[in-house]
Amino acid sequence: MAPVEKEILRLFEEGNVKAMDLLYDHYADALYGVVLRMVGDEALASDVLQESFVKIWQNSRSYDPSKGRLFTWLLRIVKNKAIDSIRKTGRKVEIQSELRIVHKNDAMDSSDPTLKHDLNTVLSNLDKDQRELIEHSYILGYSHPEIAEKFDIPLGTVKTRIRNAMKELRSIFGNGR
Amino acid sequence: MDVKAYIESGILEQFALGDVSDQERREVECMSKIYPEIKAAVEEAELDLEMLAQAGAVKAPSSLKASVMAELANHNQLPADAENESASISQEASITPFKPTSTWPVVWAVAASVTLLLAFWQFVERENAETELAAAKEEQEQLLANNEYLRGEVEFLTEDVQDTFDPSFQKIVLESTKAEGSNGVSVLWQKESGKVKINLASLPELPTDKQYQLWVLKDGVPSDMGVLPKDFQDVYLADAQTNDGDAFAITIEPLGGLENPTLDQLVYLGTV
Repeated sequence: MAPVEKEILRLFEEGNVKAMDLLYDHYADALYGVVLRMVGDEALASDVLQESFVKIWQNSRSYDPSKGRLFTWLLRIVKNKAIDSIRKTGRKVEIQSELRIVHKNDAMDSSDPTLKHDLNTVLSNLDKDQRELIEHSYILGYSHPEIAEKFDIPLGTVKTRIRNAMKELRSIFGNGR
Repeated sequence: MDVKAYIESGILEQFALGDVSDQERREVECMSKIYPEIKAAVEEAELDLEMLAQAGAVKAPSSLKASVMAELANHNQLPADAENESASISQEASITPFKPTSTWPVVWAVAASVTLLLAFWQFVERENAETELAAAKEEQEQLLANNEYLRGEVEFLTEDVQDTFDPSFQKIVLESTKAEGSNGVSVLWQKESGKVKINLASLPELPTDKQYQLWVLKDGVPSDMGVLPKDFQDVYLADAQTNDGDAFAITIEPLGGLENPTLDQLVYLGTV
């Protein structure tokens, strides 16, 4: 576990709202990227993120590190809020040939290995089918059944293809990790 | 249990994405407690998820942080679901200080040694107690996790038994098309809800690169009902639902299944 995660957990335990300050600094941009691509609108994405942070704080004592990484838990909450909002307003984005990614460039901790690759470069190493699957599941927040329906392929195939695409990506990440 | 097939099925990536049913989630959580390979693969899938999200980070509007922090001030942290155990041991080795008196040097020395010895003994005892307590806690957590898993299993089993006796479920026996006289496979179908349940215990084992796939046929046209898990010897709720159909069929397909059935690999068939 990274030191910052440990510190956040300690502050959660204490009931210290500073945890959320730290959490925001480390994860807000990654989470905002996911939400923005899911809801397709900046004002809406900000609302979703704000509501998510309230929910994260309210439930912070029930996060159990033995059941998974902090980020996995955060993303689950954020995605659920985004899905609620999509249900009300409808999904707005369709994937474009170039993903609309604004990079975080300033004040970035260069020791953070997760930021060594930019998304487009990484994904461009995949073939078109694999790229589409990864974009839909990991970037645009589609569920597996939604992908199966959209591309008209069996759910089991969606699962194994996503797994294979991730293995391919891992071999690219490999040196960055 | 074929650990490798389980990992290769892609279920762990789906689990990390938060995209699985409660049944599957419990299964993954339990499996990763039992098999270190699965635990490692889950961790890897979670790390991938985080890495992709960080790579796709978009700078949030600069005013957002202040407004989030202001909003948080209006909300309280809720208590944890799990009770906060205050298991900290607060006992301290109590060393009683005493004043030396010149008149009783021997008694003093003896008393000092006894006290030291006592303190040392207390220290050792406390260390032991802490180790034992940690082991007991770990054991308790494992038992609780097992208990939760079993409770879930009982719920599913109870539901399966109830469905068997529920008149809105019809039972269809799929006969083997290959082996004469071999046992069929039972399917329970609730037309109104579209639920299809199948007993996987009666399916013969397949090579690692093959998987059974379930189909529903309507006027001879097959629709995919999902692949059947290889590592599950129980009543399984099919991935897809159907309100319409006049037959069910099972084929043997490559891992992950296909869009259309491979007809010469049709192994079970039963009409409604």
